[in-house]
Amino acid sequence: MINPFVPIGASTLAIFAEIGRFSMFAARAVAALFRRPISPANSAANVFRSAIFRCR
Amino acid sequence: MIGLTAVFIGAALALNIYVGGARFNAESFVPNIVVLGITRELGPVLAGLMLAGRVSAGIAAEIGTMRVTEQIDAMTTLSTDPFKFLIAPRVLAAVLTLPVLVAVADIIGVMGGYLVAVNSLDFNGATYLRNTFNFLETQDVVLGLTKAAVFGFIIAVMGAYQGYNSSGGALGVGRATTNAVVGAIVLILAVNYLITAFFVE
Repeated sequence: MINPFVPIGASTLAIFAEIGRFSMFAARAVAALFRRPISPANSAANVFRSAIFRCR
Repeated sequence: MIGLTAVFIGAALALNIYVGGARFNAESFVPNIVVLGITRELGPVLAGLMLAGRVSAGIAAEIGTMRVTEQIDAMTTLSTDPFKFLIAPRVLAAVLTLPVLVAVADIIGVMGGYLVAVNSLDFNGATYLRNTFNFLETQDVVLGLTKAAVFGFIIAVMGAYQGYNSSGGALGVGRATTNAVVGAIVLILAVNYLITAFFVE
């Protein structure tokens, strides 16, 4: 017979893991709010750098 | 939609408080408790729940579709941060607009209580409004609007989170939408208690 604490513990762990993932996502969203806007020139340079990186 | 919800809740609240107050001759407290209940609790929570059903689901479906059609992957390939261009504007919009909606819902809810009290319960209209405004304090409104801003954040982030992590085509987007609404509602109710406890202490 399965110990009843096993599914309870597993569900609790899963809930805490989900809360952790959600908190990390929320932190990234908040950080994105305060990030410096990318200028068009900078953005073009990024695309160029990314393309070179991928070709290499 | 939020106005309709608020007016019916205000009306039902006024009736219930009247019935409860009549048991110990405290019918005159109807305006005070209606305005307190709506500004501190029911206005923000109901507006949050209504918007969780509409906005959170909408954001999850939109971002989820972008995820399963690989549009987000394309943005990442072009060195464009999806968080900055897809998620941050939605979060900011929800945080700024929900307090405004809640302020409107508060006014309409109090007016719902006023209508029932004056038309059905034989209250004097001027006295009802004077009691309402004399009883209301700034901290009640501040608490309600603070809750609204936090709920707006939860609604937008939960929708974006579920949509961003969706997978498995149209089925996955549907699942993400359902999860976003359920998650946002549960989180709103839990955070509502925590904020209330924080402000009361």
